[in-house]
Amino acid sequence: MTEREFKQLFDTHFDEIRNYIWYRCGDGDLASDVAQESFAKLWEKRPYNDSSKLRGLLFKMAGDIFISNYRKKNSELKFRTTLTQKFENKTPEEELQYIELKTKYEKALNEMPETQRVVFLMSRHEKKRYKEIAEVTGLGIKAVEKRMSKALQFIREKIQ
Amino acid sequence: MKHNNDIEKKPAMLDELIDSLSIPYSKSKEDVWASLSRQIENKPAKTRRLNYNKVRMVWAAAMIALLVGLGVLLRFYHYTVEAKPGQIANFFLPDGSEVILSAGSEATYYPLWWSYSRKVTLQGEAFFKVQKGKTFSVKSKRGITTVVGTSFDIYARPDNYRVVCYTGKVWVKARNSKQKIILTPGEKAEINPKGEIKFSKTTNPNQFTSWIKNQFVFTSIPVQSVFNEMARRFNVTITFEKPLEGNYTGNFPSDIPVEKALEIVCKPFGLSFEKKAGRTYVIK
Repeated sequence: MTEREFKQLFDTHFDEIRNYIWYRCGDGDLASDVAQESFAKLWEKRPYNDSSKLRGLLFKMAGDIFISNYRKKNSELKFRTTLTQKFENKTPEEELQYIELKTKYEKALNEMPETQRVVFLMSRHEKKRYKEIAEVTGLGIKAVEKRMSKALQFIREKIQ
Repeated sequence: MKHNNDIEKKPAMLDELIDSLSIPYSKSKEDVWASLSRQIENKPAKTRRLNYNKVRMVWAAAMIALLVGLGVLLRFYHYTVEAKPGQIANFFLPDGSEVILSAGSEATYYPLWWSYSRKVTLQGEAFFKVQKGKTFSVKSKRGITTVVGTSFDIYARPDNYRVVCYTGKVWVKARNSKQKIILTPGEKAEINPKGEIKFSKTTNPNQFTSWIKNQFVFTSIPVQSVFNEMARRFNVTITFEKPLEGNYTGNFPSDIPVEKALEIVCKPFGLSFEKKAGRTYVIK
């Protein structure tokens, strides 16, 4: 693996790796650190796998690093998101409703089981297809579907 | 009224909300790349070379294990040839040396190790006709007999150890006393249980290989040993009512009925025998 290929790999996959860890712990700084460490480790090892396998390997390494180094320290979840949308076309009343909904959504994410949350956020946030989620998490497609429907039910209950 | 409105609106609102959300990372992707670059600069891929060494070491270990295993196989793989009571077994060793095993005898050798060392372990009696070559040795409980290329007969049973040389030269070594002797044709050596070697010349060496020609030839042999030899050769069991004393001298063929042979030996000693079930004879 050349340095250029490594940079390309980083550009392609860094975001999804960092998001993946964020989905698991809700901590942005921690997710950045784990993602950086995963890439550093990959560069150190420089495996001969072809690039299609490297993606799965990155997800696996990030998950392992997260579990072995950080999980115990971070027992408290703190999901915070930011709204990118401007409330230009909204009434002040609607704006308030959105803020209220956002708080409820974040709270729901905190309470949702981790396995469901990862699948749910990959699907809804990154618009990953179920097949893709199955590949990177090492789950079967049926398991992804099941977790997704459970997560949706969970969100619906928490918000209403 | 307003509340109801809320519930209806929520799913759509939620979708819109999720679509517009982003994760507030304090470090940008570029920041991470910058710090990652610094990190990997200090850490050139050492592991790669190390992995090669590991692979090489594993290979080396595997090869060593394989060689050791092969060596052990070559060294300890062995054949055992056995002549059951009433039989004579004739076989050739890997170099063409001939071995004739007398009844109730057993010889073991290492065919794969043969070109390195010609060694046979013998229990019982056998005649050897050895091809010229490296040292050839026959190991038994009491003695070791070593030759280069010759023919000789070894009797290695609990009651005696006896080597008779026919051609060439034979070295005989007692195992527990380390005494040694060299035999030339027509000479014989016996080793007693204490490890002492008794050397003597024999006028009729062929009597010791009479078993090959279906003959019994005994010259001053303790009568008890005579019956033991007959039991092996005829594949019968011979028991005694009382301990027997005296030596027997005599020749007779071994392809006669066992009862006739027993009669020949019993007569001079004033003994008689009785046939019991299961090929057993009792000497009185």
